[in-house]
Amino acid sequence: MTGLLAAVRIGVALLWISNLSWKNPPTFGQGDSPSGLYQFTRWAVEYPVFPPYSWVVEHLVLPNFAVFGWTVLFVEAALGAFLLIGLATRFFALVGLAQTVAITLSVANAPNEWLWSYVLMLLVHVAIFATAAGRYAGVDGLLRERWTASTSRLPRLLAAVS
Amino acid sequence: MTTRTPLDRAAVALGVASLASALFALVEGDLEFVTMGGGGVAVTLGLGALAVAAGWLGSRPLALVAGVGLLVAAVVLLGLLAATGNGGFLGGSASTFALWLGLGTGLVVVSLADR
Repeated sequence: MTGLLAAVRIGVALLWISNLSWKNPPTFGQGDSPSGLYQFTRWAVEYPVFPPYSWVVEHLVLPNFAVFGWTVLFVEAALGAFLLIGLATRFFALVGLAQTVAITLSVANAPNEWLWSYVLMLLVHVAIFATAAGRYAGVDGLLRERWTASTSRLPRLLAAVS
Repeated sequence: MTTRTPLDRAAVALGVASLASALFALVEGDLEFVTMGGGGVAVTLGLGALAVAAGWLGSRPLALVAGVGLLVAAVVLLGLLAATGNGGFLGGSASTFALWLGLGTGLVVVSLADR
């Protein structure tokens, strides 16, 4: 059973990692013929899901798209990297939840999108959080006892987010 | 005879993962989870083999070298992507960056952990 939890965590890590291959810096698809991350982000305005979120994308995100693009790249790279090795897994499960909500609010009403795929993404991050999946075949599992026994700040923090 | 600890076995597992990821160079389409090409294959095979050897021999310094090497390769790749829009001599994409970030961090953490 614990092997299955590790497989789910690693599978979700690969989901985030593989979806970085089309988030190409430095433009992230911004240009004369929009593509990639820029086009998906624009859908939040063209096909609004939650109007206040669309307003934020239109007035804050799109005018500062390079900053947003790099932020997405680092957040999703950290998600893929840390879920893959099972380090600070519960924290990154929550980050994955938040990122999934942002993606859902951007694209859920766009053509050919299937809302349930995003609901499933949400649920799998809930499962990773609830089961603390990094404790099985992950770095969390290897080091959590040491972190818990330590009196230093960083190990205690890692114990709390594992 | 070397007694391998769970941390050494973790270094072996991370090294094997690095070696296995080179197979993505042979895959195209939806199953190409990580973009791998050019010098990136050499990096992932060379440092993956080093990590396996480090774990097998129970050598923390070697595991640390492999981990730091992967992190340096990840940073260089990101610099190439930012400057040129492609992975240059390393090949790869941001997906390769994330993979190396994870494997490199894992190796550094297990090599620096108290035994």
